[in-house]
Amino acid sequence: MEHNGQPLEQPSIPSASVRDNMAYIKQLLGAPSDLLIRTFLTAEGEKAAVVCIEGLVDKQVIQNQVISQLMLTGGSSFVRSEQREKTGQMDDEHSNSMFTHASETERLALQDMRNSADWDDIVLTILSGDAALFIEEMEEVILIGSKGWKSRAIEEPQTESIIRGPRDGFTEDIRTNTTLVRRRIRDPHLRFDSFCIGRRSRKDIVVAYIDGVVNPMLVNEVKRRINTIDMDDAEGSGFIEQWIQDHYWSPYPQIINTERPDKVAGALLQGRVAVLVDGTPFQLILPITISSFIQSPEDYYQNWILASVLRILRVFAVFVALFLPGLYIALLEYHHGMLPSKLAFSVAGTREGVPFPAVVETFLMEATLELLREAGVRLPKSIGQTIGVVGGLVIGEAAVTAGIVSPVMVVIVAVTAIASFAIPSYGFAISIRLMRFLIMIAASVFGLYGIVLALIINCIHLVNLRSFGIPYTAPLAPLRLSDWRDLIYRLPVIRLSHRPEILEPMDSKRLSKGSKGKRSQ
Amino acid sequence: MTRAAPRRRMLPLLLAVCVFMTGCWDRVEIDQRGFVVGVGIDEPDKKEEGKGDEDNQKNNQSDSNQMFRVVYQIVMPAGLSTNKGGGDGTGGKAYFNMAVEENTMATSMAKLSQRLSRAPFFEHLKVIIVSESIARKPKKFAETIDFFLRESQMRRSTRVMVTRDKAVNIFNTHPPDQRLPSAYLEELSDNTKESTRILPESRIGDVHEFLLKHKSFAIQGVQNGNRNFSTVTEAAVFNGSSNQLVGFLNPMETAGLNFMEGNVKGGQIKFTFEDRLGVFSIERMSKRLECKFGPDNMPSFTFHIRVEGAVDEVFHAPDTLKEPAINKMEEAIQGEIVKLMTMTTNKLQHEYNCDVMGLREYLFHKHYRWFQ
Repeated sequence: MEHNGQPLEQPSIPSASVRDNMAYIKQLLGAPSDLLIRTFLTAEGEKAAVVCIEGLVDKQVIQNQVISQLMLTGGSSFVRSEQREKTGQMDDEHSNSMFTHASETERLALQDMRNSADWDDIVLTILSGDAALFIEEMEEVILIGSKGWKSRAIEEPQTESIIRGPRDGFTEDIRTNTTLVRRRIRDPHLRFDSFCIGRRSRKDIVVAYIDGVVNPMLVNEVKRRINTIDMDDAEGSGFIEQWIQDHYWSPYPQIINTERPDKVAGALLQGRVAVLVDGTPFQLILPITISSFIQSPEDYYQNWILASVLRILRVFAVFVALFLPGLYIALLEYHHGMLPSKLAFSVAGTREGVPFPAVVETFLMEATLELLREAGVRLPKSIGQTIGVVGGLVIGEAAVTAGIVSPVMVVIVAVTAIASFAIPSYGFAISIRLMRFLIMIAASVFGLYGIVLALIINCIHLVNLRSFGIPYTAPLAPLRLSDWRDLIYRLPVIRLSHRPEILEPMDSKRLSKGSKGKRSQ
Repeated sequence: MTRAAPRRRMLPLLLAVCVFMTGCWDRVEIDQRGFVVGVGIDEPDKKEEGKGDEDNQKNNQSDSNQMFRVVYQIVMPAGLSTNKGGGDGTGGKAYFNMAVEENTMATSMAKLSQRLSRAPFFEHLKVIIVSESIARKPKKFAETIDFFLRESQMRRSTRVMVTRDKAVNIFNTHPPDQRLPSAYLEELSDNTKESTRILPESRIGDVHEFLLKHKSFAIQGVQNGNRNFSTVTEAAVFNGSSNQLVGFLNPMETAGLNFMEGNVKGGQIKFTFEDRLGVFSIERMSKRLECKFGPDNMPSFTFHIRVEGAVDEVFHAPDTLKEPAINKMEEAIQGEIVKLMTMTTNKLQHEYNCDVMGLREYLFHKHYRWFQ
């Protein structure tokens, strides 16, 4: 613990005196207004104190299960029983009561209890919403799990809504989130390994994986990287994502974030690792490949033909969002012969009287679009829709009638925007937006040649990327044909007999031996 | 270190210079292009020219000072677009023709660009129309289209046509539903599925091939109907060795040529059946060529033509379920087709002396020994 003032003389072990302990805690925390200290006498007449933070604890539990129980029901004395244990007098009292030599944890009807004698641990526990019970002349402190703050209810994910599929989404509370995952996978091998990161924020994060499915080297690497995190606060999962990803200078996300527990569960079963972070509904899935961005959980809930077609559509959307404005520039500025004659004439006709060259026009409109999008995010939801109407219809229409841009340009911008919204991953869509501008610059300087150059540069970058050692372009660039079964197209469920090979899972079979899929192979 | 630092600072500058000095050099806005869709090549008007030596030039046919009157058809995109906001709802013209007189194509193009604010752009060139008077002169046809084969902007799919009329007149004719005469001609020349009398479209690339092989060939001849339409049912026959236009085939003969070349994709054959008219519509045909050598070692060719189709229209209404009736009709159709082909053969063999059907090539491929 660090302090602003002179270093406290810190007793590493709580003293036997409740008063001393209270004084120490008050001094340590600076006696904040939300610190609750309730001192009382137990039925046995021992001095006791409950310390907790108001708002973080469930007051009902403290009041009913701890304070009133200790005050009223009595039973044998903690201290005495302890002393007896220590002095080996337990045989005498054996017949008196079942509480006689019980430890204090057995006296309270509470599930989540433990002892501790470490101040660091005690203070952290108090600050994370549990209560600490101090009892006179006892050198250990009883920590009572009584977290009970106000948290958001489970709602439908805001950023990833789908039509068919579960409607629950992660919340900010890590316990709820682990529950949501656990509820989907009842495998005894599902592991939740907890970490506490952030020097000051002491945030809980959980590394989730399925033992026996996931490659242990991957889990070790994830844990190693998480252990290296050394900062004041890991605000949200974004900080953690940026800290542990392989290439921080790349515009492409190498870890996918999701609000959907079904997506996390699916990823775990594929042999991936999830990092659940307290305080954010966005949980991380890793490692990922570039194909993860065109996949949506909905693909698995639907007929495979439909899902495959939709995925192809999304690939198409990615290309449109990436190249369309660049192509427009290149074709209008350099390669007029490549347009079909009628299109060339009509485009030339609509551009008649437009004052700007196509490059300026395109940059102008794309920038306007990005502005609109940004403005729409900032505004309250009800006004956000107005922005869409004002931006899309009014500005577009007005700009055309005013002769500032050509109608074709408006079509291009609109199609590009729609295509970029069709990409399931928001993070990837942002990267695509960024790359689109690079391609537009390349196209305006070199034409189609520039687009090809930009594409090549992009490809070189992509094949060099790795996500936790897994090649980013995995089933495509290091060719793994068996992984193609669930890549751009998705084969019927009975054909998806193996987990992705690129992840090198310990248990690669997804279907059992006697299943349909096996026989038909 | 002190020397490396400025050098490293120079690197981005160098890259930027590379990018921005090499890029953009050929950037032209699409609305700054004058799209040339048609080129017509005529002889200059004698009256307009009014030069004394004009007659001399005409007599001296292979003179390199032969002047051409080149008509360029250029699109006016604003007139073409059906923009609701525009005030030209009353059918403003979508094209204009500009004539230039020069003795080479390249200089005529240069002259054109002196007159136009928008640089002429040939990648959307649809048709080249050469008038008969130019094509009749030896080698002139090849000379005129040479530019359109060499220039890097040119496409090999541009159509080449010959007209008896003046090319300018063809370029002013279009049906009311079409706004660009050149685009109209291009689409018209593709209508081979509807008629037997249209030759397959004559792409400049194919013509180039014929010219290089010194092979005789026929290309579409375009005729000016009245103000509203043109037809491409004629065929202009070129002699491969003298490289000049020798004459035209009329529509019937063109159909015969199409049958002999196996190019018929559809169309109608009129036949008489029991003194009444009937119409047979062709759905598909196949051709087989056979060659026999007579006692004088001269080859004689037999064309085996197989035509499938349906009877579209019969005035007599025979019992089409009966075999004899069908056989009779088939015979009548056969007679018609043979008549067409004989007409064509007679004209090509005796009048024009041109092997347009590619018989020479057939012998070259199949009977090389004899050919030698």
